[in-house]
Amino acid sequence: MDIGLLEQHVLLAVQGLHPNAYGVAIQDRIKALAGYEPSIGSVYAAIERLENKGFLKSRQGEPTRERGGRAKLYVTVTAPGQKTLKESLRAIDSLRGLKPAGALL
Amino acid sequence: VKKWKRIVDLVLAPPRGAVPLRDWDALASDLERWKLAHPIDFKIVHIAHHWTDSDVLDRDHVVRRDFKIVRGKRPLLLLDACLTGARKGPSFWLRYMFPWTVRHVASARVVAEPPPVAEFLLGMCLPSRRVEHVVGDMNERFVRDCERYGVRRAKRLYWSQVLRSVGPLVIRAIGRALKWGVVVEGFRRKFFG
Repeated sequence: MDIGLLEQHVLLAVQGLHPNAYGVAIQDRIKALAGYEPSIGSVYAAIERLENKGFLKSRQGEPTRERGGRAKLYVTVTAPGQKTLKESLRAIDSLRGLKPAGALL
Repeated sequence: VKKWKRIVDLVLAPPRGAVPLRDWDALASDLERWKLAHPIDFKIVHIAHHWTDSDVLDRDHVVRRDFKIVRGKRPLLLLDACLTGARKGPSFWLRYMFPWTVRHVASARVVAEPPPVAEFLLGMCLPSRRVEHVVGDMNERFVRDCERYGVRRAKRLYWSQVLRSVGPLVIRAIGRALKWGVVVEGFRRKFFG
């Protein structure tokens, strides 16, 4: 199953932030490392799509003061998600004529 | 004589709008809830009505569980009665014995809250199971932006985030509602990456 660019970035960010990946943290990581800032709505839409595809699973976090007493939604990459991400990165590397970077994951 | 008359007036006549509260335990839990719901840029009011030494010595300038909330225009105004550290001076004891006088020496700050219309708009575009998480994230960002850039810019950034989020969320909602997976996915790919 294929994934879009934002979905790929979200998966990479979630993997990098494991196990503390949630909306704002994912958004910040993409901004810091990919150089653009997706809106929070785009991030959550991507998370939902990835969840539907079975590439992410979520759990409810704890409510905190600075969030107005609202809970976080922590997400983690599932095994199929990791596999898809690897394949997607390998395809990009192949197209660029590089050795597959999937080994890094 | 004028000065003393003013002091007597202050002591005998609580200021209009002030609500003296007696049920301290209920009030403490109210305040905790309020702190969770309005975490941004506020000072808590602690006004001793029936202080004891242990209360006073608990923390610096804070008497636990003793406070008064003054409701003004929206948003809620809290008066900071735990003023600078003149704990032993006469003004300190006067304040704590006659708490309603505090209003006249305390500094008041307006509580910063995210723009309610933007919050409502965001909530409308979200499925109910996601509202808590997304609005919580936006609140977290807002608090951080308030500290970094100030309230005005933080509100602008909040609005910008909401307006940028509406498109993808609405597309997602349409996709969910109509189940036009292919069409919606193609549209999303084309316009929102």
